[in-house]
Amino acid sequence: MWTYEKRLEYPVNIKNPNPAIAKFIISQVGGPDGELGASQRYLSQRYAMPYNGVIATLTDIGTEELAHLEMVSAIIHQLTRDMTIEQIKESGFETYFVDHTAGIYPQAAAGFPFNALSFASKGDAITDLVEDMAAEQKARTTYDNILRMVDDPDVIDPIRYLREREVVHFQRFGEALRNVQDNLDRKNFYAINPSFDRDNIRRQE
Amino acid sequence: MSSRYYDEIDMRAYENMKSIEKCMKDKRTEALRNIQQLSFAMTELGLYLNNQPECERALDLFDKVKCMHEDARKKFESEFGPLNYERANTKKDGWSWISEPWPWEGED
Repeated sequence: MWTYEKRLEYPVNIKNPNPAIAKFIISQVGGPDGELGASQRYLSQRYAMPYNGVIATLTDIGTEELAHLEMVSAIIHQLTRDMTIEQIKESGFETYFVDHTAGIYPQAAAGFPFNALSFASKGDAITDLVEDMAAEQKARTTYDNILRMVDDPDVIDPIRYLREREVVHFQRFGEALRNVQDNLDRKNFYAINPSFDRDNIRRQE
Repeated sequence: MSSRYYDEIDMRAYENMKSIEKCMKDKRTEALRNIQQLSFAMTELGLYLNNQPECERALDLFDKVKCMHEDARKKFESEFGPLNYERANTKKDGWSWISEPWPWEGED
């Protein structure tokens, strides 16, 4: 069950419209390493997790990713409100504008719409947590690339915050993976799926 | 508990133990139903009020249900742990946020 809180996790206050950078920041809404995919990846993986601490980690990080989806959407919204038709045409934003006007639509920077293939849920605790660590690094790289191309301090500030959260989540998933591996049966040195082959796990008490 | 190993033992004591556990679960389920009903009532009233924000009857009912919901939550959480980690009582329970049951595992 979820409830909504009427606030952002971290403030977004952008004074100047800039559709040129909205065109690629939209990738963190609906791109392959975006926040929509991240939230659905973690929340979907919870059901096959055999350990309570890891289930809680996926629940809480998945929930935080929903807050990040809202933050990136707020960034796109503020970058595209009050823009003129001249700005739209000069910036190359017309390819988005013609289909979505200034609405938020989950797509990658290259224009293809959100694809569920970008969120992985394998039903194997080790596979999924390794995937999640990689996913956090991919999102961190994407934010690094965005920071290379943006010079508005109003945009840089929340993007830096989001980048830092990727680093923290990577750390937490690393700890979760270590806890899973510590709980594997010592005979299971090939790390056979502890989510499905229940004989291979010892439950945390 | 498997009866395989305890064929010779009088199982009545264990049955009694099981019923205490079952009773606790029933109590939890009952308290949770109360929250689910009151929370659903707030959802319904909230959706209605979004489009009819001046309706006095709905506003009064919302306030009433809100108080009942808050009481029901306090009662549930003091006995069975937090539904949201902002309400965790760490002095009393430590980090009980990671304790079972998880809602998708179903109820007994």
